[in-house]
Amino acid sequence: MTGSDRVELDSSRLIVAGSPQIHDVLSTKSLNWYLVVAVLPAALWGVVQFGLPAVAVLLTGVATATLTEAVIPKRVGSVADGNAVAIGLVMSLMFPPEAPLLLVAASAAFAIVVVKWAFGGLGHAILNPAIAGRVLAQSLDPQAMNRFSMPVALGDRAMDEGHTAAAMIREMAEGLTPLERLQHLEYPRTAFDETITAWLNGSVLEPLGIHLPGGYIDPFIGIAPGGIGEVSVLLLLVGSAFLIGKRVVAWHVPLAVFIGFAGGIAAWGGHAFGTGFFSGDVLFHSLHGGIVFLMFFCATDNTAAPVTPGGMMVYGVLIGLSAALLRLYGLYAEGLAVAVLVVSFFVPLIDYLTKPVRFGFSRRNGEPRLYKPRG
Amino acid sequence: MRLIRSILKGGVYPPDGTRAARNHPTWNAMIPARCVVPLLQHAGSPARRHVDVGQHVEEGTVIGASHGYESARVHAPIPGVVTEITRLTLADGRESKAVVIELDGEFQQLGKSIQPRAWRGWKNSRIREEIFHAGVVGLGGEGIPSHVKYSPPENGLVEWLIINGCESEPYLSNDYSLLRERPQQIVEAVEILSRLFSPRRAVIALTTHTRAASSGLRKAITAADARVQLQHLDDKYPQGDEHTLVRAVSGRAVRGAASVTQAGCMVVNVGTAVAVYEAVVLGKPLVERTLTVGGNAIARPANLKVRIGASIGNLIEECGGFKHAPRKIVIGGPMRGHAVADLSQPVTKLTTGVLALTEDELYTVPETACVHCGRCVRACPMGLEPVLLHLMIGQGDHRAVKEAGIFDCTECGCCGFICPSGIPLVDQLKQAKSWVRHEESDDGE
Repeated sequence: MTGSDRVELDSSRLIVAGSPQIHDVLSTKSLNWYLVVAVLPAALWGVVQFGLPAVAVLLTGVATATLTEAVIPKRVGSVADGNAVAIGLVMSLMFPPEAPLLLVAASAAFAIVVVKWAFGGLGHAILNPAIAGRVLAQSLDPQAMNRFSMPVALGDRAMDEGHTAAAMIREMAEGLTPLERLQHLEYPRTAFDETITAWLNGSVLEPLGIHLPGGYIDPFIGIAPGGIGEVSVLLLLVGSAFLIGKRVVAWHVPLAVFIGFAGGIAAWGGHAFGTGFFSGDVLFHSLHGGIVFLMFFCATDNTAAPVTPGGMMVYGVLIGLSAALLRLYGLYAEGLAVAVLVVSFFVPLIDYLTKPVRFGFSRRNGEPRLYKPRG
Repeated sequence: MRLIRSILKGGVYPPDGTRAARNHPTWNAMIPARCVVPLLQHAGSPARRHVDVGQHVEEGTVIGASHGYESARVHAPIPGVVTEITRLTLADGRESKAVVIELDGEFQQLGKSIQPRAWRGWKNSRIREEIFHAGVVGLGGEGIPSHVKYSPPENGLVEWLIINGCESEPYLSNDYSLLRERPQQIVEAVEILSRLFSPRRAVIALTTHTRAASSGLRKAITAADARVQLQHLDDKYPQGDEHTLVRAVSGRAVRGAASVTQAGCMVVNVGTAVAVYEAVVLGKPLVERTLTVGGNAIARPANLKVRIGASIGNLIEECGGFKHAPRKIVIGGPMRGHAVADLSQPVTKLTTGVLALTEDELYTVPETACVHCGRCVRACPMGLEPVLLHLMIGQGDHRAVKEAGIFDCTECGCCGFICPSGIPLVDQLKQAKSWVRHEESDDGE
């Protein structure tokens, strides 16, 4: 009892508060910064592939969002919670690498000023500010927002139209699968893709009776035109594994979005291209055009999503389905984030209809359970 | 049975690295020279004072008589002289009179071996009477006087007798220490309680944290040839709550506002079982209990057997004092316990632990607006929507708050623990309960 490292009690430093006396490690602040960290690998990949224009877009987006947040009257200081940085970053990662910087800045400011703060700031927005910013840009300058440059890895074999693979295949109306269409268009493919595909087929898939056609590995790694942060499915999956591991994001929404999207593409993906129902190429559409980014980093935004686990599933499936239909029949193949915006309007209704069954209540009639004594 | 069952809905996994006390043997705390014994150490109405200032008391003298429907006897934990009758505010905020006893005279019982009594020949009414005389209350923290709880339930039989060895909260290991060190007494208590209730099945429920005690228990069960089974459960908080425990063991769920006896279940905490054993077999009144002194600020965390009325400051001293500066002193567990700033607070029958927590353990989160993340909804074991209740309380709609199930809230603390916005949800829900009751009585008029 005479240890030299003994500390005397300083009663003035004691906190007296209601229970619980301890708290989980996550706060709104750490949720935002974890999100920023999780998108960084994909963002860096985008910078490497698309070069300085991409850096400019990202910097403009983040800086505008942060500065706007900082100058909102009487709210100075909320920059530290990382929300503005997260909004700016997530938004600009959905922009094409060569988007006009003025457009980026305007969209970021709109996201922070109108979508976030005009509704009361953190937690009060009814839409996801990042997505709203992206959608605003899309409607202000649809041409610029659908002109994508080729990644470095595809070299000078760039297509002049500036279209992504998902957009390109929509321009032909014959009964061909997406990959056949790309081949027809002489869409570039790296040697790396061919090597890996051949290796996969030879040593893993063909013993299982599956044959993987070439052209899936490039977009999986991130060698494809697209939004700056949307192209590398692999790095996005790494980031989202981190998010789910840190419990920043619940698995409900991403899983549900995938189910909805895969179901929609499987059902209508062929019909849209004249090969009939239930012949869609789910893999192709999942790897191209930002759906992975959407399901992990947009649809999971807390403020706009339902609060009940059941509601999250419904919300996710609806987003996935709408995204699939937009991809196949919408005006543009990119910019599926608008699906999240549309479904957000149904969130109060979804929350109302998916109330959890209360403990000790019957699922069937909603009455408290009673147990008859047995003698 | 070796199948692990769990809470099906909600719950959280609070940090648990600080159960440093669990693997050391329980030791007897020093007998305090001065005891402050509150007359309210249970749920219900306070005991009525039975001694005067200046009066000499023996160890185990009744100093507070059970008074009213839900009340329990209070005994002198040490022999001595009553020097003062004071009023104090207990850790849970209730006001109580307290009898102050200064140590004087000889111990009649301490250190002497007591001949076990042949309770098997007794009638049930005699057993209940012994429990009443000993002032036994629920030692898991809820504090319902045991003679009230063990009165025949109005609506039927006890089908399941469940001994709760789940540890009510993280950081605490006092239940585990009893399970490990006193398995024979616990098994005999199960036999006593089985006599009282004649349940169809008697179960001792353990979690992954307390299951190391199962081999000792199994030996004790075999030796006594008792009809009791062990059930292993997952260690998700609040597994040790009556409602979630009954759900995990029997498969029956009753709403939070209702008693689990409605499901034909009787849940008895391990500590209470030991107290029942001592009351019935040894004829010992409840004047000491086992509790955990823990938290990162404590130099040597331990489980102690402590006299009621000892000050928590003395216990901390006995565990080597503070090795880090504490930011919170908590009486009870970290999820339901009460923070105090006063080390003279006495140990009562309800004190499951004394924790001194450092800044690093608290993870204090600044309060921000609700971000609708839904974590509280997923964490609520009662299937409520704390986020919704929070909004309704803000709107002042007491009917909606009641409709949304506020009285099913068991105040387990999961929502407040998990809320990334640091909203004091549990405080709000507690206050809203009395507010709704108040508004309702206004409506009635």
